[in-house]
Amino acid sequence: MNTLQSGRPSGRRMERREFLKFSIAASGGLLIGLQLPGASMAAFAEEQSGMGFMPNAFVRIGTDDRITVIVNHSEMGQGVYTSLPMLLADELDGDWNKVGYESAPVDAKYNHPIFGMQITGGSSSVYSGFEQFRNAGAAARAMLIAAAAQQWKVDPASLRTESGAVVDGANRKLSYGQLAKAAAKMTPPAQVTLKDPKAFKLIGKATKRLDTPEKINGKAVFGIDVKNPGMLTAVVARAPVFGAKVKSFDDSHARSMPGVRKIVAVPSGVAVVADTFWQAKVARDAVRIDWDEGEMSTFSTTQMMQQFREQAKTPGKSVRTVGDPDAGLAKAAQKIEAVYEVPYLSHLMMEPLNCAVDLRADSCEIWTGTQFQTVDRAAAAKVAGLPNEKVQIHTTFLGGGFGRRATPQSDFVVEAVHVAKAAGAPVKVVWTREDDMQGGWYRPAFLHAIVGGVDANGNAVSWRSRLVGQSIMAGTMFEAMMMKGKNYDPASVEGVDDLPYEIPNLAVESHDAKNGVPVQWWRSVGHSHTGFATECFVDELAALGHKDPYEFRRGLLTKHPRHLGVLDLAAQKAGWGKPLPKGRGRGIAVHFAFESYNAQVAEASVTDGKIRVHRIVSVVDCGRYVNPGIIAAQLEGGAIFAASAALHQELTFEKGRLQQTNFHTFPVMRMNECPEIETHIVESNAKSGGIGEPGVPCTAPAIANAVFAVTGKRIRKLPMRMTEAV
Amino acid sequence: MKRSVTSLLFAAGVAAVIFAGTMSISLPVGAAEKSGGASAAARDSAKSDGALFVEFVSVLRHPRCMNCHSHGDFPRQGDDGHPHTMNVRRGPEGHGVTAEKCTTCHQDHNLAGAHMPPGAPNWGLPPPNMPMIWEGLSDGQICQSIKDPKQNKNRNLDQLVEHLTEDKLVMWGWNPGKGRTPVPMAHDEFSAKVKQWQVAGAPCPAESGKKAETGTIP
Amino acid sequence: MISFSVNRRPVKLDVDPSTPLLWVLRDNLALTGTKFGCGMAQCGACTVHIDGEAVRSCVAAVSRAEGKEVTTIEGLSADLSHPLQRAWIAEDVPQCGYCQSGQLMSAAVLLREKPRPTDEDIDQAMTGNICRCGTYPRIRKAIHRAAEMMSAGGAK
Repeated sequence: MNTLQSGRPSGRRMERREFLKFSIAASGGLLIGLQLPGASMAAFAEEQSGMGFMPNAFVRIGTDDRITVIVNHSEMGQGVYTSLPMLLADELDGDWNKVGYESAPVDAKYNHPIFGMQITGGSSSVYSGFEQFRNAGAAARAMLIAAAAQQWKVDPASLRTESGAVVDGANRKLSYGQLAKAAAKMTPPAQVTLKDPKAFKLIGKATKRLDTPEKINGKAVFGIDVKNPGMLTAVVARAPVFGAKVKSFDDSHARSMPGVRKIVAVPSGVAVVADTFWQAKVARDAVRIDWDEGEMSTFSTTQMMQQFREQAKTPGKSVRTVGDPDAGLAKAAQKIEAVYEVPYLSHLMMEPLNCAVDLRADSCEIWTGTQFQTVDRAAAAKVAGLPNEKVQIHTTFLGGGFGRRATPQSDFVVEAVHVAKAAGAPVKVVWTREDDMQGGWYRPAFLHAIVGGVDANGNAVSWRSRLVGQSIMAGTMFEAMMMKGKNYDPASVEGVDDLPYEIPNLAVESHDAKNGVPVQWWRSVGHSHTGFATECFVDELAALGHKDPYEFRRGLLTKHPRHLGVLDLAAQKAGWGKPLPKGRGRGIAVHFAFESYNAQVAEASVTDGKIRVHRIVSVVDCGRYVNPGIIAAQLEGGAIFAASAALHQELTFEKGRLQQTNFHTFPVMRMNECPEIETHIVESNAKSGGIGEPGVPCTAPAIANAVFAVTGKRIRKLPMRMTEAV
Repeated sequence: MKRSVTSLLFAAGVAAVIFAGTMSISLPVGAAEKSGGASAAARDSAKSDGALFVEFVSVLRHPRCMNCHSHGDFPRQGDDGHPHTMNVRRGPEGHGVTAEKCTTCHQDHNLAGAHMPPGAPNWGLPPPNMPMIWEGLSDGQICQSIKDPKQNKNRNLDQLVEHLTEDKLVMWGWNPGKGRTPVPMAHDEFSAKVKQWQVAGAPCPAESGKKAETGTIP
Repeated sequence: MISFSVNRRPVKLDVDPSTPLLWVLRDNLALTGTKFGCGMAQCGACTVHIDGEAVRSCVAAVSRAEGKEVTTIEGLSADLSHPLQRAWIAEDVPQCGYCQSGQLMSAAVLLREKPRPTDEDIDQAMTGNICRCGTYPRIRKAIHRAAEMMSAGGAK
């Protein structure tokens, strides 16, 4: 039994007047030619069904039987427009073929139940929405049953539901559409009974994504596709160095170029506003700007990494201590020290950043693909000089997010409001690929200096990890909350602070490095580097004690059954220990992140110094799951995303200038080097965990360990280069 | 020497190319050069024989030309001659395959800006039935091969000279677009040297001539 | 004035002939299914057909289309009936979906020329199209599936 009024926003009923307002806003949008994800379907439903029935903020049922699920998480590829509707539709007993989706407006009703704001992140959409969406579906179902009971004058308890209809003992049927108007008059139930998991019809079953059709015919609307009548396009000339300010600029040539309407100074640089993107881009490139480059103008990543190496020689802030690591090391039969280094990384979403703004005297409408509606709205309101409720954000499809579209400073939204304000016209700011790559908010570079030892039997006896890198929380609104009571950033050390290996002496220390490069979360956040460093080092310890790396891990995870579960299944499915074609090696890794357990086995070969990954087996235990099809896709994509970084990607700075500009200097794995990927799910009734990020951390160490297996050389620096292997 | 080694070398790879190249002379080339090269008489003979060709062969051996006249069933890029990214292939006519034809990305002109796809009319590689691979050939072998109608798209000497000096794709080597090194000789000078060679009867260097020191792509 | 046809409809436009076809399609013709990813023919998101051949529209001036037939994702089929679209649904290919227009337009040329492509054919046709979400294994499967559908009897 779940109560709806337990402080969860989902339970509150959207007032009819409020709903009316919302639907007018939605159809208004359509009138001016905008199509938001699912909006066409919603509009169709409204035309057909008038008001229909909206029992709560998450679902609307039309008299035509259409079920529209309003999704409060952004669809950036991870499948929330399918998995969250599945949760709702299952409890509703809706007809899946009639289910559509719509992005939620910004409203406290749609706040993330854990984070208390509207956000898509932390791989948490499904597990945080697991009961929220089920409750919403169950409440709607109860009202439909009540409506049918009233119509048939029977006891509601005598009725059942199936596939979008209420059915009585004599098999009389009333479809949800037929009941919609009557159901709208029913009182929402104070509490609902959720299904026994055994009765799930959708949850747990591979279900085709709902958004595929519009993503393969060109109809899906991403932020960059938004175009309202009268809307201009802007391209912004931004600082070549972080923190640089415009001293002066000369736009005399650019101003006379075709299509150019306005050239305006904004805090981030100089915006060229034109009729079309290409006109704005060409003119933007013709604006001459004199920059006051500031203190980052000498910044070099080569120097920075040297400083990190120096910093790592001194003790950092203590994160975790078990036993006596120094004494443990002193007594070890053999010791090993290793320094792992990972670079700055760009999220590099396929859709470059963009944001469309229509700023009026008393309203501000924003169309963008964001992961961070509440924060963006507040930041936009501040720039617009309007109260929050006068600012609305229409969340479009996101052409990838990976964390970049959840920026605590709302950089791309704030800038677009500034441009619209200065231009005095509705405007869409579009970033070029180069703008996007050079725009900051990267995965921070990190260094892990690890020292460990084994006893005479090859058992691990001590481990000390010392990390150096920038905090992603420092200076943000999350600093107070995340770093409360701590003198280090937990996001820097996640994944090593909870190292599961049962080693008697363990220390984790953190050094916070400071510089002016803006950093933030990147798919799997701290785990993206802690997974690499710890899973490579445990492999090195295994080799030091002449142990099989899989068995060595098993021996250190005796009290960690879920780690063992994924590790064992990955080893089994990958044929661990079985012969491989000549020249290939296998590497293994296991990691816990975002409430899920992942293990991977990679097969790799090295030819002429070039690493080729042939196969990856990825196994997850994410507790009770919703859509195994999407889970498989996320594991595949996570491994490829991680392999791209591991094999190819790094951002470097010289004289404060980013050296990489586009895909040719920051390469992404392509079809011809993509390994065969096999995924498996460990069946579990545990609480749901995440899936968007947990498949990332193990890939790099599994590949590095495979390279060691075949070459005897250790990769300790990313991206992997055999010339730097030791 | 009329040895047609192309197909053999094609299959055997670069190491074999160098080996085969040295087979035709009694001493390895390096040894011959160390001993002071050929005698004065031999040098004179080489001059009348092929020095005029050697005068401009540095253009043919330059990466701007060699990247499409190299081994393998694919074009190359950069001054280091790395295989073209994106798994681009020669294809049945030298213009790529299926959805990755040359014209998928390349125009008939260079695009403004560094690292933008370069372009010229008929952008492409030699076709597979006549791949015109110069990589690993000695000067004499390159000379013979470009004159051989069976290897040069059936061009006679006049047509060959016209191709070398006027073809728009060849001319691209002098104007390869931002960020690319042009071929190492002014076009006027190159044309003049090619024509001098033509007037002299297009003599080729003796087989013991200088082998591929530049333009051999690892 | 530049004249060409887009998805079998004639268009006549007064635009700077050096404008990349991509931006004419997106900004002048409101065909936003073709995507901008890199602007330098590195990623393939902007792939369209000109007279049936795959072209990166971000680097092809609109003048290149003069008098020719341009096909965009919106013209691949009217009703998701192209075998590739059906295979894409069957294999649940897209994640964020942003690159998929370009992937499909490249795959369509591949299948026209190689109705039963090998994995190597797929590598040679599709390596110019980047997918950041990592849908490559599914794209590969879907291309094979579409090829099977086509050889098993065409459209349906």
